[in-house]
Amino acid sequence: MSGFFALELGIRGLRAQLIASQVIGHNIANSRTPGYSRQVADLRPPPDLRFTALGRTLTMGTGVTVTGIRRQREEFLDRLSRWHGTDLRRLETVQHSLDLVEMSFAEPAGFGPRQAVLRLWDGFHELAANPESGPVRSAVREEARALAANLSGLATRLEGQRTEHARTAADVVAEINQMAEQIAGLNRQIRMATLQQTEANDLEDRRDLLLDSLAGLVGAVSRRELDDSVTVSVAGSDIVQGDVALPLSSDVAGGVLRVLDSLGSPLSPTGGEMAGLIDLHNVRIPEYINLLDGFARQMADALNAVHRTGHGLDGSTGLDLYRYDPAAPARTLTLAPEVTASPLALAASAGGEPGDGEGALALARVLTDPTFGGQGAAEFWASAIGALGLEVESVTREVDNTRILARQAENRRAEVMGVNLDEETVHLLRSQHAYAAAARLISTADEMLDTLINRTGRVGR
Amino acid sequence: MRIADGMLTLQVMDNLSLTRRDVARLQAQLATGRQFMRPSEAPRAAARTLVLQNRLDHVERYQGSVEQSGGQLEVVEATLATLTELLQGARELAVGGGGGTLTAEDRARLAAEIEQLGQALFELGNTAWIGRYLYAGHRTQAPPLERTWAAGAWTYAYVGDHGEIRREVGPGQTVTLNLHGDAVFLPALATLESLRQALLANDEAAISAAGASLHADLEQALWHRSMVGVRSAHLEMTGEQLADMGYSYVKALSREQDTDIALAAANLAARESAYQASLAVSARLLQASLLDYLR
Repeated sequence: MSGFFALELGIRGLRAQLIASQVIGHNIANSRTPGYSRQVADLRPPPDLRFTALGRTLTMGTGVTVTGIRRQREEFLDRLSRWHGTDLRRLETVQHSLDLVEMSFAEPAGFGPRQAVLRLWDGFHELAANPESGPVRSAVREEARALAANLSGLATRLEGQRTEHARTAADVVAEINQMAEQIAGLNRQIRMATLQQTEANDLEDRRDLLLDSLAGLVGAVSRRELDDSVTVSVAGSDIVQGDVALPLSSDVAGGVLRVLDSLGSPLSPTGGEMAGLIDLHNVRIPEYINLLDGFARQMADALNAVHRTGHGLDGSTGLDLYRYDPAAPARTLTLAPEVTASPLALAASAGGEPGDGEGALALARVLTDPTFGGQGAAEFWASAIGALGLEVESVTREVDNTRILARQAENRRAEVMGVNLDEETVHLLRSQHAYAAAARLISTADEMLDTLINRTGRVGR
Repeated sequence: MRIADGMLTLQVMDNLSLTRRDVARLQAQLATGRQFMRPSEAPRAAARTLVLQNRLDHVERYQGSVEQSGGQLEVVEATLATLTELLQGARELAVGGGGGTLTAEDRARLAAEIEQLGQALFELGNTAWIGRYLYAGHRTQAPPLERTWAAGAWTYAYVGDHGEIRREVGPGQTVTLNLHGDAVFLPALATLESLRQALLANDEAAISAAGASLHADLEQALWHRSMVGVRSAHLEMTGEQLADMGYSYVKALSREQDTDIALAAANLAARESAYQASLAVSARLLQASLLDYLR
């Protein structure tokens, strides 16, 4: 056992504490970096030393060494957090879009189809009371036009919203592919680091952050392989295998938005923004377009049937009030050209005489008769709006609940990986003290050696 | 449990935004006077509100119809009142004209007066109101009564139809506003003409026969009047019912959608102080750091 050993011990201490404080410095610098996981220097005593001294075998520690710098992370908590995040993102996407649908219907204070129906009904009554009046006829024609414009405007807006979702889906797919590409690149770098038996903490953080994002976008799940690369898959299809990214694509076929894997077979993502977009595009928004179409068709057909039997002030008869294209009734609903040309064509009269308002009364009755799912037109919209309100409310409640769960999962993860500056400060103080003490050890050893070298063997000098 | 710094700030921001959401909602409730701005905030109340609004809208329409109908019935009643007066005048003339002391000249003068009455009655039958002939059925754009002079005698004809002018004053509840000129005026006009002819012919028997028939016409006019009166009364009752109904809808609507101002204001005050408190606590929490205490 050499007398220089204490010096070596001191230097090891200095080095280890310096590295530890550098790790702490890294933590502090990244305390606000998204996706950063706190790192800890693994201090461990190196193998001990056995030697014989003073007539016995002694085992003595050899100081400290840094065996690694570990990220503080638990895979289970990552999974939990991603699982809730996936759900949350899907629900939020649905919520945002349904919010727009709800606003489009402009209830309870704006001018939606329900108010337009009420105004037209009111107009028909006014017409029944004043079938001879040109100005009243013009006013009623305006109400009829306003209703058609309202329904077609709504249908157009919903159709546009749907197209917008398909476009967003294409953007999301591009984003997913880009991230898959990045993950494949990171997989390569991390595997290299593993082969060289070093850590790749910050690279892994970046990869985990991308995996978080992918979970939010499309509900991707990952599996860690033995070589520390991750395999990422969406609804059972891999999008990253080792260094290779397998790009997704999306298309709209026959009005249905689809996501296709790299081989071109369709996937059905169950979570993330993509699942929300598909749900909205293929199911939820079309429901409201169908509602508008069904209403527009029923209303136009029923009003037309009555209008054809009536007579206009100009003697016209057998004319329609509304016209539409059966392929998209709500969007194409307009007044019939004869009525557009002259309000005198409004068939207010049942028998053909100018003072006869029975035709207009019959038209008004069409709107209150239970032809619309067993209710009058205005009631039909009141219940439809109620149902829409319930749907939005339930999605909003789901979003709120899921957000709490996601936040809890996020917190549990932050409990492990988050930086706490107070804690880092304490650790820094400890490293500082240990460093100072190690330095003191060196100077003490130095003095001891000085004593041995310079002050011994001078007897008799 | 470890609390990372990020957790603390996130928690603080979550709590602040929750409280702010409450404050904003209460503020909107107070500013608009409505409990909800969008159906999803209270879907069931919203559905009930919309149904009530529909009903209220219908009631308001029916109330308007009742008022307009009342106006038209009043005009009809006024013409019928004039008709009765004219017929009463004619009857007095007929009674006077039947007296044995009158000469043929006196009777000829009376005949001229009767012709005037006939003219007035004829014009009454062609009364127009807001561009519409009241006694023409559905042919409201042309005078319903026509007369022709032939061989020293007037003949009257009705060119209107028998269409009913109806208004809806409730679901499936209609009121008829018109009477037809042929029923109301033609018999009386014919009687007046025969009275005139009898006076001109100085035929006492015919005069008294015409007088008797005038009596029947007067009865008929009074009957028409009372019929219109009954309709007016019925209309008025309907109007009162509608007003009651409208009031109850307004009340129910207010209960569903209006903000309880006192409650909302109290809640707002409570939420505001909670917001202040959480701001104060957050400020102190976020400021504190071990570094403040290390030299």
